[in-house]
Amino acid sequence: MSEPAARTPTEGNDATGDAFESARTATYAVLAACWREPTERLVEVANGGELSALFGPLESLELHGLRSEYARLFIGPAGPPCPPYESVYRDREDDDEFGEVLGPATMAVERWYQAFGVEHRPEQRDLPDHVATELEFCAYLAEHGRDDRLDQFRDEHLTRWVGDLCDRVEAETRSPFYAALARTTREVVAD
Amino acid sequence: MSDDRRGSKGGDGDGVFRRDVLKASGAAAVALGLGGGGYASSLAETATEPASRQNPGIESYVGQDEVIRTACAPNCRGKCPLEAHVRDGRVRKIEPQIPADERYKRACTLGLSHTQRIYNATRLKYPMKRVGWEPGSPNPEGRGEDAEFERVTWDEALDYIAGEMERVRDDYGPESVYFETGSGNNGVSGTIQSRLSSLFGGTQKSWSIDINVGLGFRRLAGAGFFNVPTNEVVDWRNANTVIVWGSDIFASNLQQDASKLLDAVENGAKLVCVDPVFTNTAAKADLWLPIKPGKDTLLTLSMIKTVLDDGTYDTEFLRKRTLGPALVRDDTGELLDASDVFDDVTEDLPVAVDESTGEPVALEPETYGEYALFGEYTVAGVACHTALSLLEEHVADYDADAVAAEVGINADNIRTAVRWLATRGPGGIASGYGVDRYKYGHTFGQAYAILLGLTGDFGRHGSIQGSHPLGGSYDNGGYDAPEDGPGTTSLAQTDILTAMESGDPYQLKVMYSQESNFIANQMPDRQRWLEASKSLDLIAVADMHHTPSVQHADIILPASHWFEREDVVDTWGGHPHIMYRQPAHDPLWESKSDHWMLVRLAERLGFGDYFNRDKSATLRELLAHDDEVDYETLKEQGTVKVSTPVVKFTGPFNTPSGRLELYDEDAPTEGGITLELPKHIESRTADDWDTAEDYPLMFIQKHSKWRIHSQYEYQNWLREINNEPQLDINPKDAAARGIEDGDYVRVHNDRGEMVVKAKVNDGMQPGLVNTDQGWWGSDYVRGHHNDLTHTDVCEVTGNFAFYDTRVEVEPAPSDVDTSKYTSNQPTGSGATSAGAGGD
Ligand code: SF4
Repeated sequence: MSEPAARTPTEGNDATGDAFESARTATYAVLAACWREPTERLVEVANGGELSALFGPLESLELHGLRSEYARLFIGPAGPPCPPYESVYRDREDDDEFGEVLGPATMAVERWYQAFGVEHRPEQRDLPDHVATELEFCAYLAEHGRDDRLDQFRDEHLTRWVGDLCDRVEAETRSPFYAALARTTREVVAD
Repeated sequence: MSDDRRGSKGGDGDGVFRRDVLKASGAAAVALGLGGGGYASSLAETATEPASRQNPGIESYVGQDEVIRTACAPNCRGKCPLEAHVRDGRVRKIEPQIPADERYKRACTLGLSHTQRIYNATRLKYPMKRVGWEPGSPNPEGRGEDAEFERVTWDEALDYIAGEMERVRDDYGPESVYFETGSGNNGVSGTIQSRLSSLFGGTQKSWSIDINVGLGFRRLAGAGFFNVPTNEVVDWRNANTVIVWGSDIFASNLQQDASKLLDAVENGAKLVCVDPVFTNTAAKADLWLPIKPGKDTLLTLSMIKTVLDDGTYDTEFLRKRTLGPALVRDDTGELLDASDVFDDVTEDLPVAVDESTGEPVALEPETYGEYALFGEYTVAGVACHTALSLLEEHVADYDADAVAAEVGINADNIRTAVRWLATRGPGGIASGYGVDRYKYGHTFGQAYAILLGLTGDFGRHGSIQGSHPLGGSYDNGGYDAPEDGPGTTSLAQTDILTAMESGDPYQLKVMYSQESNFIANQMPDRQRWLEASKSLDLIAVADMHHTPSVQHADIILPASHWFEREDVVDTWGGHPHIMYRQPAHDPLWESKSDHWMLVRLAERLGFGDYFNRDKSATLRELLAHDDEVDYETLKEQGTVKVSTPVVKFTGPFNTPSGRLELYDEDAPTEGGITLELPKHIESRTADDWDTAEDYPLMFIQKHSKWRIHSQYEYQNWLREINNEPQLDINPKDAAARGIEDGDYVRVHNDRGEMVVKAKVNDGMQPGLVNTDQGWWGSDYVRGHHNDLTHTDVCEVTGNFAFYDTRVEVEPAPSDVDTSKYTSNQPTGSGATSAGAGGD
């Protein structure tokens, strides 16, 4: 990977969100937050209708149930049916299996982080190629005006696996919220 | 969700979607508090120069691996020393490590596939609590398949456990807390757990598995528990005849035993395999004796008779080291006591007759004399026979021709096998754990100890008495049972079951389980265990993987992989080394070592002073008492060889007479039958067993080469080869039931059922079916192999009789759902249905 290109303003850079450099930043930041473990704040915001433009109208969420569903889909103890890590989908020998975590794809992602001056916090015990972290990185690139690099990162990483993940989530989930999150994420990533 | 949004998935909605989303997200982001960089929860800016200017990652291509020393130890008894090649902080390759004694460099496919265990997406990641469980309100009915879990912090998890332990200690006594350790690890965690249990006054189990044959042997030879101690395997090359009995060494002992057995074969040994199944080992044998299930003692009695008839017994050994010449009183069946014969003898010694003088003499251990081996004598007015004469009489009806049909083996082959053993010099019987799993397996241990006594196969190079070399252990200075505490109460596993079930001998209320998948997978009559465990107010399970037992837990504690721990590993039952585990990296996610968990639990229970959070310091302390191994050297070298005798059973036997007690005067009884000499007693393998008509097939559960007990569940490399449980069934039995290879079948009896794929396999004899043990509940289309097994044990050893099980087999009902194997689901995802990864 060569040195990042100089910051170039792009169309999406018109700040539509108060504290945001760009709408793109905000979109990725919101998606990243939604792919993390649900918080009280997430539930409040969703129930306040503030996510509906992204996800469409949502039934009222309840934190406890949402956390259970999150654990079931992405953590376990059973399965989990939808591991949220890139290398599981990309570093596999066969489509009918899950690959290992922390594989070559994870390393490639870490090199992206490194190249742009960020690192996966050591105290964050989840893995660097968690979908939320990759989306967070997209937000970071957008925020720093690296939209060209964002597109490249998306092409080299997110588009290669997030569709698979979202398919699995849609097939598995009992929660309209995660079905909607999967749909929207698929679209944003493919956009 | 509205349709138009769905439509935006296609190309034409894109523009609309994009505008919507982009506009909306700013407000949402603010509402979520993500502004001002608040979205960056996982990424942080690095202080250093962007690595883009430093050729990022180039070291990964040209750098060198760091090679760390570690060890595998899932209780195949292999405990193979391994090397992990670490690059970029990750284990990339596993290779066998050359230990101090390089003859013990071994590893199997399983050990080499550990990368697929460490980096498995199915690992347990965070402490969890079952939804619906609360302290004092355990809701045990909520356990099992449908249980759901939520994340808790480590502090919360450990507080819950400590709180419950203290509560039930007050209400029921400390022994109501059961500290369970399985055989899944073999580092120091068992020792740490024992220390805590001992300080707390808890209960731990003693085994009711794999001790049948060993305890039968022990009565005569003074040694044996888990199988029988034997010469270190590097000595096996000196054996001229090896009878592998009830053990598929070439499939399930791929550790040291298999290679050393091949050394013996290469050196000219005759290999005999006694097994009801045409196993990998049978296929490599010079002679295969396809015994019918449960006839092992009967076959041994006929071999004894052959040796006696042929006169090929080892006279010198019998005279010097056994009770063969000892006189047994006709009136009482007891050994004639020297104190009743000689005025000057007060010790409790047996008596023999010196053939050259005709006079009685007291029998000392390890003392040769020209003792009469056979005959009747009247000594001090007491009519007696020699023990060997009684044996001869005892086996009179068991001529090879007479038993051939019943044991299912050609009489000439019986004689050939035992003649090789008796006449070709050193050798022996490498018994495995197969015969253990019949109810009265201990009588086989007794019988073959006698056979080896006749052939003199004890205490010399090339002798083989079983499959358990001693391996290496170290003196931990009593660390596991400190003097200050009330001590641990030990209960046999059979009693653990009744203690939970009915409070007999006392009520258990809390279970803390580590490196064990007993309760929901590995115990016979599994449903009975699950039902019994409902009396527990808390089940806490520490594991690396989501085993069925984890699915039955209330609190789940994610344990680190072996390669993520610093540890010291003994090699009990394996090769004579102590081994060091250097951690390859930090445990993934929030997993922790058992040591980490136990120390923090101990602190909460008020025993913090007895433990050290620093694992290195703990390991140093554990090794401080040993004369041969110290922490620094071990860490430096990776392995330290410890001294253990290569040849076993030299010197006096550990028995009252100091001799091999061919005749056991203090014999126990089994259903009123006394066992001074071994008797052929059968349970369900008997043709006239009362359910034989309804359940005509015997059902065994072999150990395969693709897993060690219930470990190695989710490795893709292994699943590719061995993807689902199957029922091995003879073509005739299959045809008689309209079953073809690959059909799903229902296997059932009066306890339960399982549905598995049939493997029509003429390696199985008619009347016998097999499903390899260790599969998890989630692997079965329906049921589980341990829903078919039972808890009926013999009186003498109380050993679980997994193989003494009858079943019937029929085509699976047409509505059975086999989609987990027929639809395209990623292996190991547990994704086919909710909770499917569990039970
Ligand atoms: S599974 Fe057993 S034989 Fe295989 S490498 Fe591990 S310890 Fe050795």
